[in-house]
Formats: sequence, C-alpha cells, structure tokens
Amino acid sequence: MCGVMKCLCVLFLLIVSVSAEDRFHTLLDKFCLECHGGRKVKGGVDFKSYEGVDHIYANFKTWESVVVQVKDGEMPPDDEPQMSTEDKKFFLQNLQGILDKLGTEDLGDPGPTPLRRLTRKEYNNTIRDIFGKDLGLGKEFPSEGGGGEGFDNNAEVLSFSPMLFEKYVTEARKLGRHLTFNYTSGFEASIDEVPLRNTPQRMTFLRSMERDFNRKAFPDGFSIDKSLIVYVRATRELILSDLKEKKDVNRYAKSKGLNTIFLMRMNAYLSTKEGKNEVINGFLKPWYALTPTSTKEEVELACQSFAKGYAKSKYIHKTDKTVSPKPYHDLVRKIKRMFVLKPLELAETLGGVEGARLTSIHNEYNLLKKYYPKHVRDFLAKALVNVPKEKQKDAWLNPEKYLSKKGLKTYKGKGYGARKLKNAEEQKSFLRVHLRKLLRDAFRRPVTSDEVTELVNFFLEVKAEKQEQVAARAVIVKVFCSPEFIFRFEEKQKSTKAYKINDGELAVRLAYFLWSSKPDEELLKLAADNKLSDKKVLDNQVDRMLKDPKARSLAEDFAAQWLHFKDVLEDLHIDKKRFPQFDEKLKKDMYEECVSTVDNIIKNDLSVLNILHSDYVFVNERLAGIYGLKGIEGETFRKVSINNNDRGGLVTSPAVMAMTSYPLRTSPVLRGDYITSVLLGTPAPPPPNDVEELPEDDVVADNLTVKQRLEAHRKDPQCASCHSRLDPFGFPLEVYDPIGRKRTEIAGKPIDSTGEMKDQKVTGPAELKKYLLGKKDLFLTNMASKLLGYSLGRSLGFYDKYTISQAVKSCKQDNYRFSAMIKKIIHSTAFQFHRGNKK
Amino acid sequence: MNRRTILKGLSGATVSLPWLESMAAPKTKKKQVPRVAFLFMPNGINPHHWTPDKSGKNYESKDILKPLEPVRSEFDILTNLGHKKSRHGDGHYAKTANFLSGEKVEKSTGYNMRCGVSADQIIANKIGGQTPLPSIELGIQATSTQTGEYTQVYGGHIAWRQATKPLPKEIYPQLAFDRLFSSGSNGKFFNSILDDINQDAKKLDKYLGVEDRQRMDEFFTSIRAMELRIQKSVKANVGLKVPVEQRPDAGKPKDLETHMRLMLDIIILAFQMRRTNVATFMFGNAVCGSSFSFLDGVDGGFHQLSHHGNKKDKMKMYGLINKFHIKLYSEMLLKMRLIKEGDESLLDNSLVMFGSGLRDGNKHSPKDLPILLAGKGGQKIERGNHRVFAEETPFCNLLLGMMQASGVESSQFGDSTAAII
Repeated sequence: MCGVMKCLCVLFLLIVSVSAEDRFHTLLDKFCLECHGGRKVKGGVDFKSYEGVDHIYANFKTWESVVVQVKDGEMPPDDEPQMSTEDKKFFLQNLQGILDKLGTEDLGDPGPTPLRRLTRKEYNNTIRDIFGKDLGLGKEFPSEGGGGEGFDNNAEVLSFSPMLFEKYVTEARKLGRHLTFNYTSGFEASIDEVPLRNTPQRMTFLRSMERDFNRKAFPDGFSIDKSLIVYVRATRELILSDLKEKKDVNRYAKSKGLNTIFLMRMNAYLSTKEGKNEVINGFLKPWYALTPTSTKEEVELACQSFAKGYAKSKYIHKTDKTVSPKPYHDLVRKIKRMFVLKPLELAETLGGVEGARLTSIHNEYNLLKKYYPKHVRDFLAKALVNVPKEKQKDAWLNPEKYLSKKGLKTYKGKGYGARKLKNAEEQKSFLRVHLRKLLRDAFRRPVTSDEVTELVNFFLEVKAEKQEQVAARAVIVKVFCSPEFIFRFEEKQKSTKAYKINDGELAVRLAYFLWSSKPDEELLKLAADNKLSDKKVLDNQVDRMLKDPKARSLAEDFAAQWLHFKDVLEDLHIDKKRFPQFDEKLKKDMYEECVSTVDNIIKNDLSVLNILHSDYVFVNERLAGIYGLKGIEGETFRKVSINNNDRGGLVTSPAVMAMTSYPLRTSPVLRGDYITSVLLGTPAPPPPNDVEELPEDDVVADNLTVKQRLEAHRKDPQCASCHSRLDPFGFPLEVYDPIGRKRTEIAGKPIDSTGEMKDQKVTGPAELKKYLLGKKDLFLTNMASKLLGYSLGRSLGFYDKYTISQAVKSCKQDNYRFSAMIKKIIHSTAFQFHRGNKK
Repeated sequence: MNRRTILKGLSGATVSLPWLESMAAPKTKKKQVPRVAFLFMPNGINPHHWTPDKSGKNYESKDILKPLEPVRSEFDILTNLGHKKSRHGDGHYAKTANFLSGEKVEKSTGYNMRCGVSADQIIANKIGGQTPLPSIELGIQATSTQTGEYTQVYGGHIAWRQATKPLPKEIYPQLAFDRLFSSGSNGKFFNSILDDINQDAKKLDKYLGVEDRQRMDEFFTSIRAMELRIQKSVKANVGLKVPVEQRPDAGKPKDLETHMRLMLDIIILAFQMRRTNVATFMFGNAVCGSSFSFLDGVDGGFHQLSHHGNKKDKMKMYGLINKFHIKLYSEMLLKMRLIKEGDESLLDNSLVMFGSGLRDGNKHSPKDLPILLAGKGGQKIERGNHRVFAEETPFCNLLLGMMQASGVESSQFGDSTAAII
C-alpha cells in the first residue's frame, strides 16, 4: 500500500517537474542561448549542453551566479529581449529550488578523494614533529601552484616530476646530515648539519653548543656570506683611521652595528700574510696592495676579491674533488671560527641582563652543562671524571684541553652514546624498537614486523660495510624518499558504496587539516584504540588541537591563502620611492597582524565575524604608526583595544589596504573585488578584452579623481554590470592610502568615500563594515566553502553544498564560533568517508 | 671590435661572457642533434612596435626589436602564426599552458586539469637520453596558489610531459646550476635505496584507486629517470670540470634583470657543456605583475601596463618592457654566437625561439603571435628574414618544424598543416 502511494507520488512529481523543466528549458533557449551557447560563448558561459538538473549540479557555481545576475537584472542585458515578470519569477524560483536542494539534502556522497602529496610546509612540519626540531627543510621544492578553492594543498594539481624526486632525495640527505644516531635515544636532530668525517664528533658537538649560544646573540640570524664583505670593508676603515685600542674599535663597531670581537679578529687576520697558504694569499693579493691613497674602486675590488675567494672556497671545499680542497678548507674553517663567539665573549657582546645571566651561567659550570646535548654531557661526565675538582670548571668549558687524542679515538669508536650496547642482539632489539617508531611516524600508520625487520637488516647491511652513522643516514633517505612518507595513502576498500575511513586515517586527515602536520601521540593512541571517531572524543580532540600552538598553521596556511595576505610577504609592488616606510620589516608586520588576528580567533574560539570587524587590532610600534596609535613601543605584537569603528578587523588592515593597491595609488576596483570575491565569495566575471585602464597615479592629468574616472567608466554599459558591483565596496576605503594610513585628501582633493550599493549608500569604512556584517551569510558561506576545500584538498562539487550549509548553520547557532564551523566540517561525510569505487 | 665592446654597446653595461670555450663538450664526429630552447614572455607585446612593415631581408626593425640588430643575420621574425585553440577560454591561462602544445586548455581548478603535451617534451623524449638531463625547465617566479576559474598551475608551466602533467620549473639560479652538474650518485647504497623504494611500492596496491595509480606512475617514472640519470652521469662526468667560478649565489637575485640573465646564462652553459639539449624558460608567469619601474621611462607593473587602453604613454611603457626582454634575448644570442664549436658557433647548432602566447595584451588576442626564431639547428638555413605567412597559419607548424629538426619523426603536431623551420 505504502509502496504504491510512494510510486504515485513520485510519478506525480515527475510529471510536474517535467513540465517545469520544459518551461525552464524554453526560457533558457529563448533568452540566454544566443550569447551563451550555439555560436557565441560570452564570458565562457555555455548552456548549449544543458540537459536538466544534472547540468545544474555539475556546474552549480555558474548557475548560482545566474541566479544573482538574473535577479539583479544584469542578465539578460538591457539591450536584449527581457523575460516577463512572471517568467522571471518562475525562472528564478525553479533554479533556486534546485540549487537549494543541494544545501538541504545530504546526498551521502563524500566526493572524490584524490591522492594527496605533502606540501612543502607539511613536509617540513612532519619532520619537525618527528625529530623535535624545525630544520627548515623543503624550501627548495618547487612551489605547489594551487587549485580547487585556491590552496597549495590541492591534491589535483600536486603532480610529480623527476626534478621533484631529485629534490626529495637531496632533502632527505640533508635531513640525514642533521641527525646523529645513538643507542640511547635513537636519532637526535641538531639545527646545524653534523659532518660525518674530518671533524671529530666531540668538536662538532662543542661547536654546535657554541652555535646555540650564538643564536641567542643574533636572533635574526647571522650569515657569514652576507656579512663577510661588510667586515672586510670595516677593517679597511679601521686601518685608515688608525683605531687600535679596543674601546675605540668598540665605539666604531657599535656605530656601524658590527660586533667588536668579529671585527678585531678580522683585523688581525687581514693584517699579515703569515700563516696563510698561497691560495688564500692569492685572494688577498689586491688587499695587501692597498695603500692609503688607493681609490674607492680599488678598495672595493680588494674587498670583493676576498669575499669571492671565500665563496669559491666554500663551494670547492664541499663539492669539487678535482682540485686539492685543503687550502680552501683552511680558509673556510678560519672564517667560520672567526664568526663564532665563545660563551664569555658572547656575554660581553650581549651585555646587560642577558650578558650577566650568561656570565653567571658560565661561572656556574654545572649549569653550563645543560647546554650540551645529552649524549655529549654523558660522555664528558665520564671522560672528565679524573680531572681534579678545582679544574673541573675549566675542563667543562674547554674539554679539548683535557682530552687526549687517544681519548678522542676511544670516544669515536664507542659511538655517541654513553650507554654501551656491546651485544649485537641488544643493539638489534634497540634498533627494532626505534626504527619501528620511526616508520610509524613517517608513514603515519601502524607498521608490520616484516617491515621493521627489513629496515633493521638494511641498517645492519650498510653498517657492516660503512660507519654506523652512514647506515643511519641511509635509513633516513630510504624512509623519507618512500612514497608512503611523501604521499598520504588511505586503504581502499572494494566497496562500491561510500565507506567510513578507519580511525588511523581520520587522525591523519585531522592532523593535516588543523596542524599541517602528522598526528601526535595522543591522537595515535585514540586511533589505535578505535576511539577517535566517537563524536564526543573527536570534539574534545578538535578543541585540544585548536588550542595547540601548531594550530597556527590554520592562520598561516589556510587563512593566509584564503584572505591572500600571504601575498604581502611575496608578491607586493608598492612603490618604495613614494612610500619609503614600506620596507621588509613593515611587510612582515602587516602579515603578522593578520596572522595574529586569525590565530587569536582560533585559539580563543571567538566569532569569525571578527575578521570583518573587531574592536581591537594587533600592532607593534611600527604598525601602530601606520594606524596612528600612540604609546606603543617595541617589536612585540600586542592586542590593543580601539574605540574607532573605522578600524578593527582585516577589512581595514594595512595588509589588505596594501595588497589592493597599485604601486602608486589605491584602487577602489581592486578593493571592491577583494571584498566581493575574497571575503564574500561573489566574484565578478573577468573584465572583457580591450578595456581601458585608469592612470598609474592618484594624480590624474585631466584633473579627474580616480573616483570620477570610474564613474565615467561605469556609464559604459559594458563596464557597468561589473563595476557597479565592485567599485562601491572600494570607495569607502579610499580614506586609507596604499600602505593603510588614514588620509584626508588625495592629490589635494577631498575624498569622496561614498559607495552606492544596490540596496544602500555607504560612507566611510565604519559603515562599510556594518554593511558587510549585514551580509554575513555570504561571508560565512564563503568561509565554510574555503575551509572545506582546504580540509579536503580538492575542488568542491555540488555534493559539498550540504556540508557547507550545515557548517554555516551550526556556526550561526553557536555565536559564530570558529570551532562550530570546523567541527561540522570534520563530522561531515566528505571528511570521514571514502566514495568507494565506481566500477 | 672585440667581443666585450659588442656586448657593451648592446646593453650599456659590460656583460662578460659566461663561460669559456674550452669548457665546451668534446667534439664528436657523429652528427649531433641541435640544442633547442623555448623562451616565453608573458602578457604579449605592443603591436605597433613589433612587426616590421616590409617582409624579407631588408626590413626595418621597429622599436622593440631594435636590440636585435647586432644579431640580425641570426634570426627570423615570423608573422601570422597563432594557436586556434587559444581563442577560447580566459585571457591568459588558456594561452600560456598550451604555448608549446597548441591544445585546448581545459577550464579547471585542478580536477581534470589538462592541456596538450608540449613540443619541448616530445623533443626531450626523442633526444633527451643523450644527455645527463633530458630537459631543463627554468623560470623566475613561483607559481601562485590563488585560484579563479583556472588553476594558476596553467599560468606557471609551459612544459607538459603529459597532457595532465606539467613539469615544475627551477627558479633559483644556484639550484639550477648545481642540477646541471650533480650526478646524484652516491654509489651502491644509494642505488639499492632506489631499488628498495621501487620494491616497497608494490605493496601499495591496496591503497590505490584508479587515479592514484596514475599519480604513482609519475612517481615511479621519476625514480627511473633518476636512476637513468645516475648511470648517464657516471659516464658524462668523467673529466668534467665544473665552472665553479660561475656558480651563482644562493637564493633569488634581488633584481629582475640579474635573475633573468642568470637563468639564460645557465641555459647557454647547459647547451655548451651538453648537459641537456632541451630547455624552456619563462620570463614570467601568466599575468605577471612584476614592477618594471627600474627601466627608464617605465612606471608600473607588466600586466597592468599591458592593459594600455590605447593610451600613448602606457603603450610606450609596455613596449619598453617588451624591448627589455628582447635585449636579454639578444644578449643570449650574442653570447651563443661567440661560443665556437669547431667552425660553427653554438648558436649555429641550436634553435632558440622567443615568443608570447598573446599579441596585444590589451585585447588578449591570440592571433599573429610575436614569434622569433634564432639559430640554425646545425643545418644550412638562411636567417635574417621577416617571414610573413598566410593569415592564421598554425603556430604548431613552427613547433613541428623544430621537432623535426631535432630528429622527431612525425609529420603532424596539433593543428599543423606543414612544417616551418
């Protein structure tokens, strides 16, 4: 009975929808096809192949824009035949109805899951989380490009090439050089590469400790390559002005922002030919030839000759085997040592509180020991045990004085660890445990005994012929060039229906979504116990993960790409002559403000509408200057409350103002486009060919302002349809100049900051933001789409509409909290299921 | 006139020759295949200052092409070539990815991304096996991640190994240089690691869907490419002297001009030392907005100025940017001409094409593309002509001609109707 009723119902619906469908199709043919199908395909929109609902689903983005354009009367264009009011109403209702269904009905289709390859960021983060140190790897991989919703993690375009594989090999080797293996803690990472040969390991570790100290003295990094020539030049000036006393040198160095100790060492080094080999003296020949009357050019050539000699030596020293590397090696070693500070020198350099603290650490040698890596500490504790008490301090600070070469050899022979595993079986079982963990972390899945055995045997095979460290590094290359590390595999079931992924895979999806990295122990444990997919457990984990510092990746990878502020760092062409303030530091500050704003929303689970408007900004002293805020000092960023509705939120941030400007002027069009397409997700079609653009500068020859120009431009109906949508959003922001400062006039003319939207007039940034808050549904829908696209690493399809509408709904119900939106995405079919195989 | 003065006159500054002739690859008696380079400039040209009025030998160069006067006898201007399939789709991406294939660029944000296999890769397939590297892909800009209707992958790649697989380009001069000479070999253990990775991969079956298999094919092809390269390098690197003096600095050069020139120099070096026979170079990605204000008389970005709206001042700046690219091309040809290979020059034995996927950037017009072809590819060809073809002659005719000159045995490419060389 019931079945029959259902059948009849379906039949009835079918008849109704068929006739509606016919009417719709007729309207489409009559009013649209002339320009969009058949002979012409204007704007790349083609309805020729329209066959009904499926076409609408498959091209839903186009059809969504059809609704907007027909509703607004932009299509059909004014000079073409128009639909009757009744037809138009039906056309829109019918289309909207079909589209709405996508948002209200769960189709149960998770969509495709293309095979994902780690992005450069994910690659480095994963390694960071395996070994506990950020080694900055993967920077030399080619950029990902980007696709789908506009993210670098879009799997569809993450292709593979021979060059890329070579880079994976190079990078895995580099990783190997950062690691040392011992039988106490397995692989240990150090920020600096650890040479395998030539340098006794002990010295290596001592130097790495020294470098750790040095890093404190030069938080912004110190590059010999960049600074060498600066010091050589300064040395020349030192000689010319005959400064010899340390305090004079000190004063001179301070005035130049140089380090006194480095400068004095350089001076000593360059003052004599003694003790240098012919190659080095060759590089220095022009230097020695200098006289007090030498010309500037001669001096510069001499400086460069030496700096170039160093660069060359460094290369030969590393790679070239056709020449004897020794003389070059000497130079590199000497220069490198010249630019390293010993702890006490460091204390002197740092001065102040930090210097005093270091001095006391130094004096308190027991504390100093903390700065040695554990295995060195253990080693030294044993090696120095017989040193008399009163010399212990000195011995810990300068162990090389107290250790004989013989002692060194023994050390080398025994491996790095204090723990001695003489027994081969003991070693093997240690290897089993450790390599199992390495494999699990790298492949992000449980590993089998066979796999572990294979890797252990590989290690032992190499070790039998080469050093232990070589074997360890070979293991690293093998594991980190494996497709299982590079790609994110998920088990494929032979089901034709959609099926749920397992908990381990869920942990991986979750971790790469929220952290751009591998799952941590807690997630792995829950996954191993099959508890992670439990809704409550999962929600708790999401809350925990969003509070973790690693969630900053959502600001730096997701938001920075979605809101384009990544461009501030990479691709911004503000004219530096006109805006001298716009330097590298200010760029970084602009970027940092955006990251902090989003990160703050995520960490504290605030309303996402804070992106549009907030009553605070994140600034440091430099950025406060742009904002015109007083009393903020120093480099540190802080949250500052403001009571000025013209500011607050990313819409009025200097970063956004800068990236929507041309080199010399602001662009209401770019700003309008940013708001409509990037924030609200309603992009205008690309400009037609052959458009006339505005002049370069705010200062216009025929005395019209940019706004007046644009108004003239909009009189052209061809331009009007888009510009009447874009420009009004840009005008209220005209009160901010290309680097985001407030201005009261443009090229001597007062600013007209009124934009006429379709539904209302808006004047100034505060009103604009209020207006945008009124459009929050568009904003939220756009944000949810972007977030979903980012989480899935693919282009979105009609089957994703439901998830998006649910995420928006949930977010609205929960005070617009970020976590509400993200949880809905994580609980969605798309995120937790696999589509199954079609055939 | 010595060569230094020639170069000085050309660019206003002294340009030293990148590498010495003694570094050239040892001459073999066997007839060698030519070396082929494809140089791509984004954003089109100022059409009023490109095509000479007269055809044939006695044409008078318009402003953009003036820097090529010193090498006038070495190149042809080819007029009226275009890609039919570039006429649809958007203004830039649909006319960039297919620059060397002539196929349609599928409108896509990633899924179904597709355009044709590019001519350089067909050539590399044929002759790439003779050199340590089958081909090199260079550029100066990273591909952006912003995505509109087309993924920007289209705008950042002209070399496509397969219809769906672009080859990423190297943008760091030092890495490009190092790649030319590194053999990648680390002996027995390294080879065994590659073997193992290959072996392990067979276990992956349970993870792979249909499309995943394609992606993994790319992966394994890449491993094989590396193995092959190691084998070849072992031979090719015997007695190899790396010109370490010329190794570029790490990182990205601060100014555009140095960056572009360095990359072109690396192509010359690679050709000269026979590290590869095939190269592509992108002066910029599609819609490149880099500021060229460093040029006298120019104020603004390339793409921005390409939309000149027929305003005189803007068109002038647009042309000056074009001219700057031509100047670098001309320098490259000069350098290649000065490198002797027996009685001939490196340029004689190469084919170096320069072009853009658009004509007038203001119109995004893909007809009558600005195309130049220099070098003789080791054949007896007369250059120095402005060759005017029938309107709407397929650009693929030229690509086919270059393929044939490189030994590819095929009589058809894209919409080609004949071969031009």
